[in-house]
Amino acid sequence: MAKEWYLMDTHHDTVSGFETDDFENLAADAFNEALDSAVGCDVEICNYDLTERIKKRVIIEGNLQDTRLNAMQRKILAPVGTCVAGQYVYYKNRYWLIIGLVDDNGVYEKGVMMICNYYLTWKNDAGEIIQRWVNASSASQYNNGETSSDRYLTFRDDQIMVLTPNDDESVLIPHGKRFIIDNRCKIYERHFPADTTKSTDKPLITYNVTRLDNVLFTYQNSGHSEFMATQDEQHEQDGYYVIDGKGYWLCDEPDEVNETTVLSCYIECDEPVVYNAVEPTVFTARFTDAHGNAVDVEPHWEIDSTFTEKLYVESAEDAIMVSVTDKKLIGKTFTLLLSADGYETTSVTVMIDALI
Amino acid sequence: MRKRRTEERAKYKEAIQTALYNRDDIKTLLLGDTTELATSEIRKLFKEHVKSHLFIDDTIEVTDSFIFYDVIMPRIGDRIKQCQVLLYAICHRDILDGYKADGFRGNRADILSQMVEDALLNDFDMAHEFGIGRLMLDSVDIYNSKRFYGCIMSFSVPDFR
Repeated sequence: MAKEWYLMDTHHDTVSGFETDDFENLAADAFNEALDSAVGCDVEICNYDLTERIKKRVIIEGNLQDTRLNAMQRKILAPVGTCVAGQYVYYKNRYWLIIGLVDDNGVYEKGVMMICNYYLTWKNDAGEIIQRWVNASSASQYNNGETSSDRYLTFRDDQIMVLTPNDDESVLIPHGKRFIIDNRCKIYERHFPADTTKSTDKPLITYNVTRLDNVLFTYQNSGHSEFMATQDEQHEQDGYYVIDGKGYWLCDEPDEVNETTVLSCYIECDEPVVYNAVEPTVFTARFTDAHGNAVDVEPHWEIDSTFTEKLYVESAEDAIMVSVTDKKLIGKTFTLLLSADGYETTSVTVMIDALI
Repeated sequence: MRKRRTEERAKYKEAIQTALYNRDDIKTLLLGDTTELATSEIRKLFKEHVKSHLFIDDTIEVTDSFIFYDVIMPRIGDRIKQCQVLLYAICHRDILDGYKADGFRGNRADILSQMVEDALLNDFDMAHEFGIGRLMLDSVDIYNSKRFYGCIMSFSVPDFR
């Protein structure tokens, strides 16, 4: 009987009578129904630098783990074509890295994902700060963490395996690259005074790359990268640096990190005039990094005048709104100053005028 | 230094301009929908439509509505001077009919004159911005020319010499 005879609209061929046809027709639908049930959950599939995020409904398996190692690993079941190895899955407020080849059985696809336990930070050869969520696990679990060539000198000794996505920046990490991999950084950072721009006096655990595995887990169109990092001794310049208004924990880099970069900011407004007794004039703070890119920095505003108390000032995020309702101030000027940590102060002279 | 007798003219104009600008209904009538415009753009357009000098026919080519006003002092006495505001609320004849605004009646020029009255007289604080006492509407005359139509409103208020 022709499909057109059927009252219910279906995109499947319901007239063949073969069980295999029925299975092929309904398998994906059945999986989608399972996704909509309580076993499904909402996650975000993210790219290597988290700039692209796509919301998906998937099933996460292995979340009722029974060993310590299992606790760091999950399986993701998703409609075919949802994810590939090397992507992140943002699941229950944590990032997980998909590490195995994601394959499907015609009904759904399945991938293995590892918990990301550290936000690795480094500078690439161009001097740009790169940050990736990684999985770091011990590669020398039962050693005592020390080695000595003789009885007078003892070195730190540890190896960890770090799993990263296989984007260009991660794959291009060179041998000997040094990283700070130490969760004490968060505690140090909490106790820094607000105006801290550099701190190199904190004890840190640092590593350098001694083995790179950027082929073993590559699947032509996807994959992840791994490297072995060996603990080394902390260098004098390893520490916390504020760059472009943001704090980073970095190992000493060839001079660049210690350069004093003059960062610029400017005040944006339609016209540097506040009209008496009308709506406020909005001044917006604009900050750029050393490369001229716009960055978000908390602005510090100041008004230099002899009648500041007569101005109505309101600030919101990166803008300040100034209005005045005093005709005696018409014709007078004040200076609006903008500054921020690490930035040179900039100013604009604002005139109070009548709208006429 | 001797007090400038004509300084009030400028002060009155500043107050009138601000009072008219702060009325959204006047801005909408003169400029149309301004929701997509930046504040500086609105101010610029407003200044093009509200002028602190009197209207000279045939000097405006666009089909729009305008307010022109000026301040005169017909008599300066020993202690008191009489200040008078002459205000033209005029519209191009092509757009005179069909304009509607909540709470107002008449054609576009009629509505504009009522809005001006609200801005300058019906706002208590504004009416007392000028001179001694409050601004008063003395007369309303018709402006009737080839392309523009509207009314000439005459306000007065005494002020100290």
